[in-house]
Amino acid sequence: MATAIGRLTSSITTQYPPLDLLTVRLPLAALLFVPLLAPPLLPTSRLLSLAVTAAIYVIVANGLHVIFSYTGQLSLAHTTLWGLGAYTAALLITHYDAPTLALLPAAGLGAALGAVAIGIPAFRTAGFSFAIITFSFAEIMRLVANNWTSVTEGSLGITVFDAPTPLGPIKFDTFNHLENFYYLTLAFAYLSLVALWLIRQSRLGKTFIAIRENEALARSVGINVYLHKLLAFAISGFFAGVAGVFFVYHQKHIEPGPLSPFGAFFTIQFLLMILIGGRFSVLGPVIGAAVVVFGPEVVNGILGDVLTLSRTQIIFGSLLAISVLTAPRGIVGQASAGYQNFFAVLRQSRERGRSWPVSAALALASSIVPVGRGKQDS
Amino acid sequence: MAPVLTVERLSKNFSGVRALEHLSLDVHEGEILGLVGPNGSGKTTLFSCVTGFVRATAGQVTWRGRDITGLAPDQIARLGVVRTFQQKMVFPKATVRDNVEMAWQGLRDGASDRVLTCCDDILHFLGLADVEDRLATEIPFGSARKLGVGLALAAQPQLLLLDEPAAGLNQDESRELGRLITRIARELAVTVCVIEHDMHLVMAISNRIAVLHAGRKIAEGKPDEIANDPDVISVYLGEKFARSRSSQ
Amino acid sequence: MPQELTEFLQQLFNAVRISGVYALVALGITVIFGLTGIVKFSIGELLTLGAFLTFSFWDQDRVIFFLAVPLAALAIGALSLLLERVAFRFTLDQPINGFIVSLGLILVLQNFVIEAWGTSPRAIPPVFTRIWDVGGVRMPMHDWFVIWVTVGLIASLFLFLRLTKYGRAIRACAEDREAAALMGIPVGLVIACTFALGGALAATAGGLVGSIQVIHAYIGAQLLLKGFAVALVGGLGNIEGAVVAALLVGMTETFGAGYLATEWRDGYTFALMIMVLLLRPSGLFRARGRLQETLQ
Repeated sequence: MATAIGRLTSSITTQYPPLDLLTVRLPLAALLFVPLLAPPLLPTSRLLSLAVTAAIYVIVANGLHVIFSYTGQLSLAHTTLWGLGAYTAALLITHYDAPTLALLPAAGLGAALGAVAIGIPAFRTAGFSFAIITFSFAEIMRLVANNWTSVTEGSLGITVFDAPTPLGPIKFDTFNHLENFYYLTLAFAYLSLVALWLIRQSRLGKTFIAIRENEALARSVGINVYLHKLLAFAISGFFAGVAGVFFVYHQKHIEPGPLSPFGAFFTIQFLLMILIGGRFSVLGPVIGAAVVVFGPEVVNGILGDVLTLSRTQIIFGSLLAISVLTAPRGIVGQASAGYQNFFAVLRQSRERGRSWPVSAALALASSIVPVGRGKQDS
Repeated sequence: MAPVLTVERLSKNFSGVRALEHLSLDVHEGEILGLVGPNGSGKTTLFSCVTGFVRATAGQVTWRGRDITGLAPDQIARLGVVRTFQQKMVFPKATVRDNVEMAWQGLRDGASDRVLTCCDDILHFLGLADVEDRLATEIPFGSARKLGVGLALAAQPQLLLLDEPAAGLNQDESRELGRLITRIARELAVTVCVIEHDMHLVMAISNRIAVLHAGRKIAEGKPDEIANDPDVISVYLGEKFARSRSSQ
Repeated sequence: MPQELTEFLQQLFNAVRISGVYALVALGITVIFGLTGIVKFSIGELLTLGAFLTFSFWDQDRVIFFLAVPLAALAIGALSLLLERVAFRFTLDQPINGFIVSLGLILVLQNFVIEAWGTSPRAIPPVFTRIWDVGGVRMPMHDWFVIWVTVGLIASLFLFLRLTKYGRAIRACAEDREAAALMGIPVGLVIACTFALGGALAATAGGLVGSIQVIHAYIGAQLLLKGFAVALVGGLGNIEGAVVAALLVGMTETFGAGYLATEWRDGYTFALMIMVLLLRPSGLFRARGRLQETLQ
């Protein structure tokens, strides 16, 4: 046990330069404990419900992180896999009264299988075609959900009144025990984060990144790119499927309408989360999810309900476009690069004999400009 | 010495351009085979066809008795035939160490006991251990080329196909690379085939040399035989020069 | 006329009409892709904007419709050009980033339409109200008008690209950007104008669509998928292919929905698109321009 912790700490300290660790990673990691305080901190149950949504989104975003950020494949079918998991869960609950413990792997596997089914044809094409094929599959699945009424109840959708199976005396229904449900969802959000980090550290994660960086080079050292892409896709599907279970318990209803979160266009929201939070960091999706879910709340709180849904979307769309164009590293990467730039320029400037105020100003300027130093993935 | 790789009448057409024409070549176990020829003579195409990155129009490639024509590149690499690239030969935005770790896919079955067994060994063998935390883009170009070779070594090759590894290197770096290649052949028991334009390097390290021109093999043999072969000279320096030499 | 023949001809007419609209969208996509390798998904929203702008310019007077559509096309063309200068220009070396930018723009434009015009559907009454009935086949004159306008636009586009100096410049840039630059062609300007052209085509399609069916904020997204499928089947970057593919897709869809299950209407197109992408990633015709690089 002690050696395991020792190895863990040494792998962390060797990976991240100490400055980065102190100023960015550790504070961010500390921020991860904040959600534990949500129930007492958030005054209304609407806000707590929003926190539940954020936790669910984290799981979904972490899944997308594996296929998009690590493996470099732009899948527009991710939310559809989420929907697949949700439908699987809803059907198992309404037809078989399935307990939560069985639902989670079932939904996860269902979505993973769906991912493989899409991936087998889709990965025979290259990056761009892949995005379009996933998009088509996403729309086809929506059509299926709409029309296969005998199974999916069509556009009416499925309504679920059950709550997750109680854990002894602890109940999880969202009407009376929303806090418990929140902690349950949060626990799985943490789990997904740990899983993401483990993948990143493992040889599998490195292989994914190799594929993203240079497929031909990866092939030349014997990496079976096709199989690994399928695997990454399946893993991302599994995450999404599990998130689907919590979605069903929380929203109590799923349907395939055009505004449904299971359409191809909704994946854009999660792309946004990843790009805002940071494409090259494990913590990226978490930060992004928090910003996307709570950002509008904060703005509305301060400026007084100025943001309608459509206005929020306009801002998000702009943010997505802007972040692709200017800061490909997202908040986490930017903060990290910013700090490094700051101290490096400060030191250089002092070495050249410039005064403190000038040096500080230069350093500050260089920390804001999105020019990255240091390695890319962490 | 037995041939481990046999290329038989390999042809490749690229929309009308005949990159390879009925090329036949053997690579013998444990040797360093130099592959030379003017630009466009088909050397890189040969590598690409052999390793499955390009599908040959006709012909056959046999590796240790097994027909590998038309197999996928990663399959062929796992069978022990690994190539390097002239450009984009490393993962640019990762550290040197990360590069090797990304290429390392575990010990392959049938790996000889002389193979380098992990990333540390590879880095030490290459002499890159002291820069392992530097980004691949921040190390000198010569070291980047060595890293490219190192990535191929991570795949535990039995036959290593190096595509112009000395391109862009100065004399010292070329010599160092030459020593590295010789060490790979000797200490790691790897058969090597090197495409190169640097004639000094090729002459110095190769056991045999094959000369390509317009998709065909025009000469094959020991370095000094090749140096005096009139066909080779005419291809590089022109017909007149060859005739003037042979008439001396 | 026998019932089956009437049925068939009716479907044929519908198919041709819808093919025209698809062709316009597909041309917008294919022209931009052929030149830059960027798949501009947000072109669907430009269609929506074009439709709603036309609606706003419209009055009860039918002359205004003839003006409203070109006005909307001009406005959206200008917008598209602006977007190219401000955003897409920086993604030319990484077209997939351009794609993601366009995804963001979808959110912006779609919700802008919602903010400005609300979510209730609008309609522009047809210019011609007479319906020409031939043995049971009902062909509204307005639909014929739309078809002819579309044909005219496509023909003009063809002639422009083949015969004029500017058209040749565009095609040169699509073949080889570097060589074109070396020959003195202002590549940046050409790209900007092509974006404007694509936007204008989409807006025109939007205006026309607004007069043959009800429009709402999501109409662009719906037509985008079809338009894109057409562009793909015809070969991204291939202009003639886009036209032929438009007819193909229009027929498949209309006849499929007419004779097989109707609710799977969109599914036929998607299935066709997936099959094409798998079997012949370059489309059914030889694709031109940036395609090979991007798909590799």
